[in-house]
Amino acid sequence: MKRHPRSPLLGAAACTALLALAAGCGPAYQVETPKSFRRYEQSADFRWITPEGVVLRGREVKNEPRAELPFWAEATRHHLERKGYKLQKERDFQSAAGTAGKRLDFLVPRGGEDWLFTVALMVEGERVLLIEAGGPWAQMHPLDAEIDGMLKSFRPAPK
Amino acid sequence: MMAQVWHKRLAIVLGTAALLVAAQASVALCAGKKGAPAATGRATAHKAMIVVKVARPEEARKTILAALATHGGYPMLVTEDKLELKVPPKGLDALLEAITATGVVLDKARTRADHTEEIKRLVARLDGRRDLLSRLRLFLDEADVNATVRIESQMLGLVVEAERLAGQLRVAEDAVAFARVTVSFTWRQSAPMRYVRSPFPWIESVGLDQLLGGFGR
Repeated sequence: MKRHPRSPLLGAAACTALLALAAGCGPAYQVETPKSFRRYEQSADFRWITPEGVVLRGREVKNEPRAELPFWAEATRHHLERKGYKLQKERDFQSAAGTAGKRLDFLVPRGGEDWLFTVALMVEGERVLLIEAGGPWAQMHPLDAEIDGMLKSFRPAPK
Repeated sequence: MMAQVWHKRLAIVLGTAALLVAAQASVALCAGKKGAPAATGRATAHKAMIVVKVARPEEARKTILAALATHGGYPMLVTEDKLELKVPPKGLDALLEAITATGVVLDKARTRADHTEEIKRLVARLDGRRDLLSRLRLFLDEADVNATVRIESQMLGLVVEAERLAGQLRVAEDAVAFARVTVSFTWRQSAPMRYVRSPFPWIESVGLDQLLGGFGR
């Protein structure tokens, strides 16, 4: 796995990315870039996009009130189902660093099309790491394994 | 004058007899063995709904319709993204397997409704109307014109009711004889998207619209 300097976010062709999710005040992460995605723009969080318009974003939020992964996964699922999203799949994963994660896949109608929305959560102490992806079903469904591989590759960046 | 009265009476009797025959035919059709609850089993109506995403809807449609024909069923509705099918209950499981194999199943539901009591009740009510019609017909031979008119009025009411019951029975029997399967290639929400609040502010920022907003969409 190629390593990159900690400060700037990575260019389009990188096979790994270093993620400064909390705009410099939090830990950075190293992650394998899904091969179909390209970096969208320079920003504190990370955003990726495919030629077909499937998008992926990672960010951190404060773990407040302090809770564990099952709590936040349930709160997220409950909120999205109340909005009208239909849960399709719920799966556990473990990152390369050994952090437990939960991935929730939802079906969402949008503009007469079926879209997929995925949210993955990992809890690390005072932070909740969120990775969201969305796109039309036909374009996003084939990327399932790529997104899964990216989630499992999460690890703290080297100091 | 007498000839005119007898002519009118004859017309009424013949007209009523025709109605009686029609009603009896309807009753006989509906009270037959097809679809009636078997002595040993229940009259169960099956329904299934399946949402399956496929890469090529045209091919999937052909595959599903071929499987449907194999299992003795027929389509009621075929559109670009939806199929409504009828299949004998014994072929339902195999048909659903064939549909599942065409793509990725997003949603699936099956329901059963017991029509045993409903069919028994409808058959009993139809039999009752048929007996009544037969008895009324006997009176026609001896009735004068006024009585014939009254009897015909009674018989008309009975025939209308018998037709209505026969229709209900046909619907119930058809629901038992054929399982209905709705296949959609597109998932449609049952209720519109709602704006809801969460006690955790950051969770409100999670969602497809919020995600796409970050990409200028």
